[in-house]
Amino acid sequence: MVKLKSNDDKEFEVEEAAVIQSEMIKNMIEDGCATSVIPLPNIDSKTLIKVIEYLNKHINMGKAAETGEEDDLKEFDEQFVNMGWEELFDVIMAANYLNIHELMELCCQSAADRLKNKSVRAVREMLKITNDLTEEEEQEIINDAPWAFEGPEIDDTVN
Amino acid sequence: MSMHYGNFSSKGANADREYTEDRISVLPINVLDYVVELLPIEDAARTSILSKKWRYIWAMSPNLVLDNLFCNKLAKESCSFFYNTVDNILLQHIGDIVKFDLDVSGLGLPWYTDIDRWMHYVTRHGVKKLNLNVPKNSTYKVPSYIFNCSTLTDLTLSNCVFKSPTSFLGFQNLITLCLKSMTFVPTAEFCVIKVPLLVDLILDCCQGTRYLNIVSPQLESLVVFRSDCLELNCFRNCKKLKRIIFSGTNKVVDVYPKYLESSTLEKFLFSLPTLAILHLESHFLKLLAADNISKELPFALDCLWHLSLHVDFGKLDQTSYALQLIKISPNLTQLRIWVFNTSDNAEAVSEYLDSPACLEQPLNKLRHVTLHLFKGSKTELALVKKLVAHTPSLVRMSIKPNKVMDSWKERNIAIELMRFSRASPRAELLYLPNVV
Repeated sequence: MVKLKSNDDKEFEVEEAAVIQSEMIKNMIEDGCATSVIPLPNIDSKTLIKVIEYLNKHINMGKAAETGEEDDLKEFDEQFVNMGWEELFDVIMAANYLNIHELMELCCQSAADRLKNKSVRAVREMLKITNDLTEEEEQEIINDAPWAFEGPEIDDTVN
Repeated sequence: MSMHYGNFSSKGANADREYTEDRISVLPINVLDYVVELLPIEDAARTSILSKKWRYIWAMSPNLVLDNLFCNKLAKESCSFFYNTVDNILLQHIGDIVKFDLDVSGLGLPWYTDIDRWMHYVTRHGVKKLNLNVPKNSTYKVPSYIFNCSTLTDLTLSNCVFKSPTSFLGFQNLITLCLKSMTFVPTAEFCVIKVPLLVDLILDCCQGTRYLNIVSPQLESLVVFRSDCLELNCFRNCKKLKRIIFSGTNKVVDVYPKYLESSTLEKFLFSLPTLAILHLESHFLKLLAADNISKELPFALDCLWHLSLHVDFGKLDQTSYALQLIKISPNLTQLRIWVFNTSDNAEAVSEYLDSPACLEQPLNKLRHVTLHLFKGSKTELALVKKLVAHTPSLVRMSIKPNKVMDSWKERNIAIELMRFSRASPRAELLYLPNVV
């Protein structure tokens, strides 16, 4: 068992087989730096609970194909990323920090799926991005790749 | 970072926490790169206009995927619009292009000089993963830039003509090579392609494979689909081969190697000390089984853990060869069988499967068995009976019928299956008549 501590001082015990999906922690264990509690100053307990839920479900993922549990995992993953942007970015930050490749892929793919076919206005609105480009700059960008800004599939709704 | 806790209820319950400030723009740049990489090219290009921070993220993204959909959309306008747009994309790109996918298979292009030019460009910009798909029967010759590109690690080519340049020494850094519907033509002099680091090789529906001589001592996976020829000689020294998939069927027409001999195939398969995964379709099992009725195989596949076979249960030679393969694999954990064919009148096969001699020792490591295209014949049931009686570690046996049978027949099969005594107390027997 490996003990992890969130930035709000909550401790969690996780099986080593689960936690080594994090490259960062795996390296710490290999270097003998994981004997006591591992503090995670960038991750709050709420996000850490989500990450641990993911790690526990994905233990021995390589063997999933062997046991016919692929569908089960797929369903779990779909449910897992069913969260708001705020939570998604928390998990992405944690996965990036802990270096959990599969979780990064899952969450970034979910972010990409939500942005697909969305208009510029819709993406800015969804993600609260402030446009700090001048009109000339905007026109320049459109002129560089006009094919990206036209088409019936572009969706201007925010959801 | 915000700290909201105390609400530890199940997933999705917190999905309504309101998103009020721009958090994506302050994510580390590698995360933004990754999200942009996962977007289709139009969406990715559009992120350039979101804000100053986003201005060059796409232009610097090391991955460019110009898929079939995108190319078709451009070419619908006109061929020159397509050429110009791709030119522009490459001109605007900043830095290396690590991955370049170009799929023009749906286009009727008047010439291919532009494609050569783009290949020239990407091979000089550090391309590691290259995927080029041209229209079928295009006679497009793989340009020398690709052969001479030393940065390539992953190469996928479809529908081109493959003729290596005379001075060609090989792909020095290639790890994965996938050749689909390629035509190999003979070179002026006998030429051996050295691919010292190659691990994965896939040959799908290629012609003239006999002109392809590859030397790849590190090869771990060899996959051959629908090939008219299979020169096993050049793989003789691949002692690290772990995975073999030989298949010849597809929905339209089956293609099998014409001159492959039974003894050559057998000698090859049993000379691989590390073989772990083996998948053989019907033609290959038929070939192996042809001279081998009930003969004990004098080999062992000590590392094999996954075996998947297409078996004709109307034929005694194939059924017994399949069992031989199972018996000589002491570490087999997963077995998949596709019932290629069967017959209720195959008395000899039923008799063989019922005889104690067909399988005496327990298969101690076997944990997962799946029978696909199950047709419910006597021989198939006899096989299931035999297997569940000899697999003390069995976790799951899944039986998937190939089509919906009438409920009376299904009921009888289910009753029959339930009667079989199982060596493994925790074995789950799944009969899935509705899952086709």
